[in-house]
Amino acid sequence: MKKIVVMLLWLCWASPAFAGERILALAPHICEILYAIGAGKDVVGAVSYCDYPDAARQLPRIGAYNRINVEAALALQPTMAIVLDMQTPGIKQLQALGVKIIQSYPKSVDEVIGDIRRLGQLTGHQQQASQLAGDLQRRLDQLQAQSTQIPVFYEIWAKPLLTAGKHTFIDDVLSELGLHNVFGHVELEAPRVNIEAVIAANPKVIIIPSEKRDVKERTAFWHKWLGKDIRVITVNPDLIHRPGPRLLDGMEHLNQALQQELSLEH
Amino acid sequence: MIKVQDLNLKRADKQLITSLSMQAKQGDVVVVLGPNGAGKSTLLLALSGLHTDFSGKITLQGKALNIYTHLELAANIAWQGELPPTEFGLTVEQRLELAAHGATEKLKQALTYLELEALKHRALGELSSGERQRVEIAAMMVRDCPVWLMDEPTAHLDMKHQVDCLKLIKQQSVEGRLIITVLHDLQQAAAVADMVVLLDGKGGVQVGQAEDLLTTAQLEPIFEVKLQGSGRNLMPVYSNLSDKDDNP
Amino acid sequence: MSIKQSPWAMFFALFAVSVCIAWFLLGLGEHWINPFNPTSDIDSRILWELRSPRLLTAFAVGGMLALAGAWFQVLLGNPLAEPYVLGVAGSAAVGAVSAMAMVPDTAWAVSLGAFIGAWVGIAIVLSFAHLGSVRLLLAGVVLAAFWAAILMLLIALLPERGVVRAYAWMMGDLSNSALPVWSLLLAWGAALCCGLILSLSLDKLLLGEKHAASLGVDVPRLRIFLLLLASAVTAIAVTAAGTIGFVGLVVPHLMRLLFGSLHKSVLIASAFGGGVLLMLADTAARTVISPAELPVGVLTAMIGVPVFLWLLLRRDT
Repeated sequence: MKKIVVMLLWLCWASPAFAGERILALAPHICEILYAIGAGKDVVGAVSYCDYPDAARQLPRIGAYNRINVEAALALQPTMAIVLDMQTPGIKQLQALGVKIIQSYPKSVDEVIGDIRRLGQLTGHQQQASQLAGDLQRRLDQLQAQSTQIPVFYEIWAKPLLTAGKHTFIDDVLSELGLHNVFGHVELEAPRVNIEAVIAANPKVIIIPSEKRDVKERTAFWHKWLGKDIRVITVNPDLIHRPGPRLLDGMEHLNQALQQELSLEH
Repeated sequence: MIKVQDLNLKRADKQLITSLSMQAKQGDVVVVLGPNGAGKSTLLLALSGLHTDFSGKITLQGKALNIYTHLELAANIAWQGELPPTEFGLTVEQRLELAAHGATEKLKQALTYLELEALKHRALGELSSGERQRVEIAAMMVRDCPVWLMDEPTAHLDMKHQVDCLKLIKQQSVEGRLIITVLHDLQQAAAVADMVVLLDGKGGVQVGQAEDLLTTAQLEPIFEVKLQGSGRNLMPVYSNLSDKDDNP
Repeated sequence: MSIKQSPWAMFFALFAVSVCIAWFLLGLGEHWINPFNPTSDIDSRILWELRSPRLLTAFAVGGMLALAGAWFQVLLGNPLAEPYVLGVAGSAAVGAVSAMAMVPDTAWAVSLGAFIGAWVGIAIVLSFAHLGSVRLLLAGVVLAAFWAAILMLLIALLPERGVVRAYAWMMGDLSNSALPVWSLLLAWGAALCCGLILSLSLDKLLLGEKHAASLGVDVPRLRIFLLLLASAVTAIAVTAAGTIGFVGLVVPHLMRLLFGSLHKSVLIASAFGGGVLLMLADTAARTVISPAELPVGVLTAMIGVPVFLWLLLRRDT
C-alpha cells in the first residue's frame, strides 16, 4: 500500500514538470527540430518561414526570425521560447515575464546534432532526440568516410556574386562532406567575389541553391568561364542552409549528385 | 515707348496698385517712389515682363508685353534688381559675358566706367555688396537695351559710386534710353527724374512731372515723415531724432 | 586655362586622358594582364569580356551621375544638390527590392523594377516642379525620406538571404548591368550633348530665376526640361548599377574648381571626371581585398567624403 502511495505521490510531483511545455519556435530550423524529436504537440507558436513539416504551417505566426510581437507571443501563454539570437527584440520582455529562453544557433553540423540532443533534454523528449541524433551522427560518419577534397565554389547569389567564407555554416557543411570551399579562407561571412577570382581558384564543381534561380543561365555562364568540364549541381537551400534535422538529407543528396556528376567524367 | 493703361497690380492675392496709367518715351527718366511694400519692385517686374499677375495693359512700342518672345523682351528691356546668388563661383567677367552676348567692346567700357577692371577675375562671392552692385550696373551697360528698369541702383554703393551711377543714368537718358528706376533718396530722385510715379502704399498712385510731385505737400502725407527744403534739396528732417512723437 | 576657350579641345584632351587611365586600369584585377599583350586566351577573354565591359559601364554611369549632379545643382540653385536629392534613387530602390521579393532573380526583373520605380518617383516630383527651387527641394527631401521608410518596410519583410541581396544592390554593382554597355555609352553621349546645348541657359540660371528670365531664358520650360533630363539620366544610371553615391555631389564641384563655373566646361569635365572617378573606385573595389570585393558605393564614399570636406574648407579661405 505504501508503495502505491509513494508511486502516486511521485507521479503527481514529477509529471507537471513535463506536463506539456508550451513552446514558441522562433526560427524555421527550431521548428523542424521540435517536430522531429516528438515535441511538435508542445509547439504553440512559430515565426515566418516555419514551413516544415506541414503541421507547422498551421501554427500562429508571431513575428520573424529577427522581430517578435511580444503581445501575440504572450497570448499563447508560452512557458518556453527557443530563439536564434538572444538579442532579438522582444526576447528580454518575454524573459522578464517568466518565459524560459533557450538559444539554438548551430554554426556547424556537429552543433546541429548537439542541439538536437540538447533540445530533447530541455523539452523532455530525450529519448526520441537521442535516437534522432544518433541516427544523424551515423549518417554523417558515413559521409565523412570519403574525403575527396574536390575544390568547389558555392554560389550563394549570382548578381552580385556571393559565396560563403570562413566560419560559416555552409563552409562547415562543405568540409564535413570532404569538399574544399575555394573561398573558405576568406574571413568574411558572405563575401562578394570577382569572377576572375573564381577562375583563378579553379573549382571543379559549382554548387547553386536552386531557389529563385535560373539554373540553366548559370550553368551556361560557368561553362563559358570555366570550361565544359565544370560540373554544376543544385541543392535545395531549405535542406542545406537550415541547421535542422533535414540537413543530412541535403548533404546526402549533394553527395550523391556529386558522385553522379563526377562519375560521368570517367 | 512704354505705355501703361489702367494697371491693377497684384501680388500673392494682395492688391498693390489700383488703376495706374502712364506713358514714357525714349530719353525719359521715370522715378518710382513710395513706402516699403507699396509695390515698387513688383511694378518694375511687371514692366519687364517677369511678373504677370495684373489686369490692364502694358505695351512696349505699341505691342502688349505678353506678345513678345522671351528673347525679344530681353533685347529690349534690361532689369536690375536683387543681387544674383554667389554659390557657384561665377567671376565678374563671366557674369558680364552672360549679359554681353559677345559684345566685348561694351564689356571693356563697362568694366572701366564702374572701376571693375581689377576685379574682373574675382568670384562674385568674394566681393563686397557695393562691388557686386557695381557689377550689376555694369551688366546694364553691357546689355545696351533701349529700356532700363533699375530697382534701387544706388543701394550698397559709397558716395562716389552713387554719384557715378546717377551720372550714368542722366547720360544714358540723353542718349535716348528710357530709364525707369526705383529710388529711396529724394535728392537723388530730384537730381535725375523727369517723371515721377508716386505710390502711396494703399493702392493709390499719382503720376506727374518731377517738379509737381517732389514737394513736401505731396510727399509728407505718404511717407509720414517731416521733410524740409524743396526741389533738389528736399530731404527728411534728421535733427530732432530724440524728440518724442513728431508726426507732421 | 586656355583649354576652357574651346570645348572641342577640352573634350578631346579629357577623352585622351580618360582612355589612358582606362587602359591602365584594364590591366588591374585578380592578376595583372598587359592590355597590349595578354599572354593567354583566357587572359584575353578576361580582359575583353569581363574587365572592359565593367570599366566602360563604370565610365558611363559615373559620367551620367556627375552630369545629373551638376544639373540638379543649378536647377535647385543649391550646391548641396545631387542626383538622389529628389528621391529618385529611393523610389528606384523600392522598385528593385520589390522585384527581388516577388520574382525569380532573372537578369532583367530587378533592373526593370528599378527603372519603373525611378519613373514613379520622377512623376511624383514633377507635380511639384512648378514651385520655386526651395519648395521643390523640400518636397524632394521629404519624398526621399518616404521612399526610405518604404524600403525599410520591404527589407523587414524579406527573409535573411534577401536582406543581403537588397543591400548589395543598393551599395552598387557595376558588373551586372541589365543595360548593355553600348546603350550606356550612347546615353552618356546624348546626355552630354543635351547639356551642352543648354549650357548658356544654364549659366544664366546660375544668376537666379529673375535674372535668367530677364536675359531671355524661358525659365519654367527650362526647369521642367532640366528636371526631366536630370531625372532620366539618374534613372538610367541607377537601373544599370544601383545607387552609387557621392559621385554626383562631389565631381561637379571639383570640376568647377579646376575649370571654372561655366557649364560648357563643367559639363564636359564632369562627364569625363565622373567616369574616371567611378572607374578608379570600381577598380579599387575589386582589388583591395581580393578575392573578395567591396561594394563600389563604399569606395565612392571613402573617396568622396574627404574630397568634399576639403572643398568646403578650401572655400572658406
